[in-house]
Amino acid sequence: MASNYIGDNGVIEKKDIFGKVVIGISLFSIAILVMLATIVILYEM
Amino acid sequence: MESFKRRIYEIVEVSRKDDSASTAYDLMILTAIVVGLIPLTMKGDSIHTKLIDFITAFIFLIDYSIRFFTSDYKMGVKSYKAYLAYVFTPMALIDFLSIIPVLSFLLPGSNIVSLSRLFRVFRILKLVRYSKTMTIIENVLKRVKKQLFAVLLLTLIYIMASAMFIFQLEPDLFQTFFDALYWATISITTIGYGDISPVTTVGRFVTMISALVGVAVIALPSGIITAAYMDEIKKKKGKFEL
Repeated sequence: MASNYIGDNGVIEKKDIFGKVVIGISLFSIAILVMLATIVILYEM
Repeated sequence: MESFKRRIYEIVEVSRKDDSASTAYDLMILTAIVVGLIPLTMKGDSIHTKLIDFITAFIFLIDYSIRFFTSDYKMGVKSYKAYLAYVFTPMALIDFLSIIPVLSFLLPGSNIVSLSRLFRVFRILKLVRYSKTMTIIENVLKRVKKQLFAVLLLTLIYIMASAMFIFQLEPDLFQTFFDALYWATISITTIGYGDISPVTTVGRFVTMISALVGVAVIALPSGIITAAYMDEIKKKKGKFEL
């Protein structure tokens, strides 16, 4: 039961560890891409 | 395993409001689409644009693989046929075209590879997936595809006929049949660059008719699409009122 938790409506819900990993990877990728885009737009255009 | 696959499918599909992982994934794809287009607005390559190319190509390759892996959920059929059918859906084809530039990293230096990089332009079409208005336009085009095809066929027949006609009338002016086809297309669309223009009276008469037919031909698809679009919007409004 360690991977479960009680949700807002009192129902036992599964912990979405995979979802959190996806959020982490997505935010990291966004940060890298935005940083590169800023460098290109500011210094190379 | 099945529930894990289902969760992956939920994440890669356009997000529900309460699914933050799916929203983050959509945001990453949208950022990759927009940032991936920046190198196309520049002459030449730098280390940063190459890095942008590499990261976006990698993201799209992973995205395509995941979408293919979960296509049985998308198509609603639990068999290998779902995977085959998915590959030929319009969005999957756009996804595939947008990952072709990955070749430039796998096979550096060949001519086909430099051409394949042009396929980055197709990535802009991936935005269609995230726009609700675009789905209305998609429905409209599906509904009126027969009428549009009829207009297209009519136009092609007219272009071919007038090109053959003018090619025989003015053999000195048109060196190849392709020149005549080019002239017919430019005339019927009322663009009229004027780089090739007929000199005989009959040739000019054909041009006048082409210009007049062109006005009707250009107006027809616009009318068909607008009427269907208005219908679709009325339907949507009706649904909300019910």
